[in-house]
Amino acid sequence: MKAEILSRTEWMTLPLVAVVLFMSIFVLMLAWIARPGARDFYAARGRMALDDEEVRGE
Amino acid sequence: MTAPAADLPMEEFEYDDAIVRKFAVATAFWGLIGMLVGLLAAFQLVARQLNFDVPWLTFGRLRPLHTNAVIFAFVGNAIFAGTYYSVQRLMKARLFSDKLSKFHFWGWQLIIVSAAVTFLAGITTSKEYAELEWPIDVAIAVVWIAYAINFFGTLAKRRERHLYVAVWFYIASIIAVALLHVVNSLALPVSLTKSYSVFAGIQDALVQWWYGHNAVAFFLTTPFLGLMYYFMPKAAERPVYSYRLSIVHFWGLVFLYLWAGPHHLLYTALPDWAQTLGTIFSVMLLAPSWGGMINGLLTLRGAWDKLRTDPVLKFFVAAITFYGLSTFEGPLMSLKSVNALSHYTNWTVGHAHGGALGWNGLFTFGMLYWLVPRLWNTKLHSQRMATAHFWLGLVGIGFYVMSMWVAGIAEGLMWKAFDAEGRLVYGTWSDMLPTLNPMYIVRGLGGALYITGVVLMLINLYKTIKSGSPATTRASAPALAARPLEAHGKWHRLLEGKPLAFTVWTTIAVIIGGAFEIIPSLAIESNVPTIASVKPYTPLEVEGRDIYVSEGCYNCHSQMVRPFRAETVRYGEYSKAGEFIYDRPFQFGSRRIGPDLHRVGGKYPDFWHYNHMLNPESTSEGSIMPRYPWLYEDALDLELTQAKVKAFRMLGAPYSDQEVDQAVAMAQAQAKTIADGLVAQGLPDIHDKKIVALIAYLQRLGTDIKKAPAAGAQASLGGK
Repeated sequence: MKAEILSRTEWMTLPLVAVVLFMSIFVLMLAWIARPGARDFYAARGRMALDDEEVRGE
Repeated sequence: MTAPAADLPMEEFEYDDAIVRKFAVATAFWGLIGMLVGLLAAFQLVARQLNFDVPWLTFGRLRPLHTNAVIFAFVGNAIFAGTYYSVQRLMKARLFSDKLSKFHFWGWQLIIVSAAVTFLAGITTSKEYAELEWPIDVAIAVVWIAYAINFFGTLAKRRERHLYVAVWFYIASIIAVALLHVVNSLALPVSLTKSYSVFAGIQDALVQWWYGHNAVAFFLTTPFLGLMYYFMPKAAERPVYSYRLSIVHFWGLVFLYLWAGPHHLLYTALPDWAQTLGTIFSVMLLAPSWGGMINGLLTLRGAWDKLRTDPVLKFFVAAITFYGLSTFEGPLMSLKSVNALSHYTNWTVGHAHGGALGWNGLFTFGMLYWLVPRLWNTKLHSQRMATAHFWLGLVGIGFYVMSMWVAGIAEGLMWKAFDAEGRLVYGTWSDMLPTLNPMYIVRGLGGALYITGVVLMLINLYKTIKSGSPATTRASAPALAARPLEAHGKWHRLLEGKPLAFTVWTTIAVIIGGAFEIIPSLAIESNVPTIASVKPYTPLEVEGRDIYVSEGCYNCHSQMVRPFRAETVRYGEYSKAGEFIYDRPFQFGSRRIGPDLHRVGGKYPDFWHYNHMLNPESTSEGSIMPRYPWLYEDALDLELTQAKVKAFRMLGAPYSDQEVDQAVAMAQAQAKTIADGLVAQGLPDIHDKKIVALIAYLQRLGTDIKKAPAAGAQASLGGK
């Protein structure tokens, strides 16, 4: 049964399915990060690497 | 926004920088060792005498030692130093467990030493960047799990609500490497030092390059991108250019990378759909990669003047630029028309070293110059020495990469050159060596310049360490529970604020690409059409194949005749997927320093092979291949032969009970037939020496397809 189904599948369509899947998720992500009102939130996140005051001693 | 930290009750804590210091020192030490081995291997292609006729010094054994030392010892230790330093600061917490940290460090160094010893002893699986045998693979898995527990445990005890983008890249790396390592290392052991892949032929090739490509992605790229997003802002004293772009960068990469592996197998016997899939996703990878490069470089906006004086920034900017160059060159080489020229040539070597020396090497040096003074609470001994190191490294890479581009394109064109009568212009391999030799010399000089810079760095860092003392670093931050939730925080908390949920999302993204590629290849029998005349190897050929693997012949010889006129004229019929179904592991190779061997069976008499392996120049004038005198002295060990044949049968090879029971007797009989033939031609009796098995294997290669299909249903062994 499994072999029969697999043997009837046209696997050359796989790249097409993959591209559509990826592009859909990618566009959703772009819409999410570009939403209005989040500029300050992202600006604060971008400064996190600099936010580590520490005291060094021997 | 988070409430000001000063308004909240603070907790004081101390970072574990002792473990960072250990990994930093190990990075510098193994970097020098790995690169020196590479330098020797480079000059062995200029002067084959540098193989010294010593087994453990031959190119075939040194090349995997070089690649593994640079990737897993140099780059690996750099990753651990950088992630352990940055994750503590980003999470405002000491590492989860000091004991696990120590176990991680010493376990990893033990693995490196074990790798060095086994490679030099000729113990290898031959799967590139995964050559280690199964006991060391198990050890890698255990140490990697310790690293994962230590890392995720640190996230669990964090005092920072949000996971900074660098941490995302670390999480993706830890998950993906574990997945890749486990799947590609699946093997059936026959002894402590020998195992056979559970995958065979093109399926093994697909799994291997799914691993190989993504080892580049998730060991050499994503951890370093995490380090870039932490150390570049620190060195530039500027926030990352665009946090939004870093999100696109991350998700774009983790979704796309896993699909691109088949571009290592274009024009091979891999199904066409898988090749197309690899090419499409390789081209798409360009977008997030360059987004990341731009994000890294523009972090320096408004501070470009610092480049003039700060060697750390010089290293970082050059490294990120090389990341951009490599991620442009990679998709270019994955186009089938370009790959037809570039594959198996030195162009690939140039591409790999542009990434390793340029991206990983220069970034690691910059990170060490930034870290070491802070870890030892002092100042860098000499900025001028660091600047000199930078220029030596940059010029060295230039010599290296450009010589390999020229050599690669030249040999790609020479392989395909026909004269007016339709004959190959460069009919023998030796015809091409004079063109390549100057490029090999320039490559070696480039490597020597690069290593001179590394020596300068070691002196500089040693004097820096001597001038300081190990620092104890304390910090304070409010407890996580005390930190209020943020506006806009709900969805971010779900996607990026919870380590477990984030890890699940990342794992799904990583698995999708792999599953789309691997599962159809393994599940669909029509992807590997069977050929009736293709039979399992004889017991002696099995032993010969293991010697071929052990000596690292795959480092210089492919076994894959591509469907080009230039290749079928030079080698014979192009390779079919069904010819490799008993090949565990596959031996397609990735580089042709010598000719392809898939159709070498029957091309020359046994006498020729005997002389060729003893002294390649006696049969191939100007050959740069090492001599293998020990194969004529070392006894052929048949102790494991029966176990090996039994293992192959367990994995699907149709050996009969009789063939398993009489494996040793069959091997001895075939060895005697070959040896008697050579004795009749005046050569010494080699029936009990390793060379007889290797000759048997070489004479079998690619011959099954020339035979008529065997009559009857019962499979019988091929060979002589």
